[in-house]
Amino acid sequence: MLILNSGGTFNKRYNPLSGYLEVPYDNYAIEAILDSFNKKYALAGVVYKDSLEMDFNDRKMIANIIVESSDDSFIIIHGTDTMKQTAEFLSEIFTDKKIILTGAMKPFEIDKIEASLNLGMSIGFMSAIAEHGVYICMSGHIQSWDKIKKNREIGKFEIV
Amino acid sequence: MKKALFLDRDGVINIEKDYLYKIEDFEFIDSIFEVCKYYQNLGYLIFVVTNQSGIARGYYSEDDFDRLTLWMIAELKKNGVNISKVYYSPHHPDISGECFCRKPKPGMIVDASKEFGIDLKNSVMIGDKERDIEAGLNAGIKTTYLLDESKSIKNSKATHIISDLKEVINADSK
Repeated sequence: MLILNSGGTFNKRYNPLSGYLEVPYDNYAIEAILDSFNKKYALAGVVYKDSLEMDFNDRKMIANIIVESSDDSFIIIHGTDTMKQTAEFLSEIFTDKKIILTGAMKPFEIDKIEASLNLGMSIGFMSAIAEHGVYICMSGHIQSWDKIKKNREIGKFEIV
Repeated sequence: MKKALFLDRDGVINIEKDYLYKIEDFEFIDSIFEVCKYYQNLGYLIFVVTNQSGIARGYYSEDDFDRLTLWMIAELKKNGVNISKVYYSPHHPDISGECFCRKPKPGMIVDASKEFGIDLKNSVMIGDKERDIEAGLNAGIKTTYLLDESKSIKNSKATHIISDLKEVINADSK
């Protein structure tokens, strides 16, 4: 299994120089969570962006890594705003992979529980499922990407 | 230096359909996996070199092409075939001017040769149009196969005219 970090709120940290929450060019949040597991996972940083800034080339970069990889299961840490868009894109290309996109509504730096829960659920689900497909794990749900969406008004993902 | 198998896309890897860009319209041609695996097992790298003037004509975008290409590479890989790289020419001389990449020009093959260190003389080109064969010859490839499923082509610069991709394996193993 390969974990890919594409950024998003999950990773955001406060930059005291700019005064903003920014997506850092590192995998600190994921590594901190994985350190509590008694197991090693392959992890690679890919894009490091707020998902509203992600474009087709960023999604292509993620897809290229999956194409080149010998792994068949992937967890992608992703911003929540365009998570579904990336999931749909990947579902068009890959029919023989297990791919789970997850993220967080609040940065790991601010709320360590939500980000940890989502990544932990994703890892657990990945080892339990047999069917290939593209899934989204958010707000306590894990569903095929087309059966879950973000409700922006309440700030949660819901089953549709 | 490594040897390579150069494949045209439309009419060789997939059934020719005008200005194809949708995944659902893409149908692999029988035997393409077998032919690729045959050369792969002999140590050849595999490249796709394809004219995509539909981009210059505005029929589809480079993003559409990229999406289909990613899917095609993933499907080939699922069937045991590793594509080293897909080269494409998005140009058309009447729209975007002359270029060095659109077949029969050898640009895409030459680029692959430079990027991957390919022994072109001992490489193989398979196409379904004379311009594919000419591109191969212009790049210095000696062994060329023209796929003519209709068996209507009598004259070609290709070293072999075949009506079924499997004939490549038979011809090569002799």
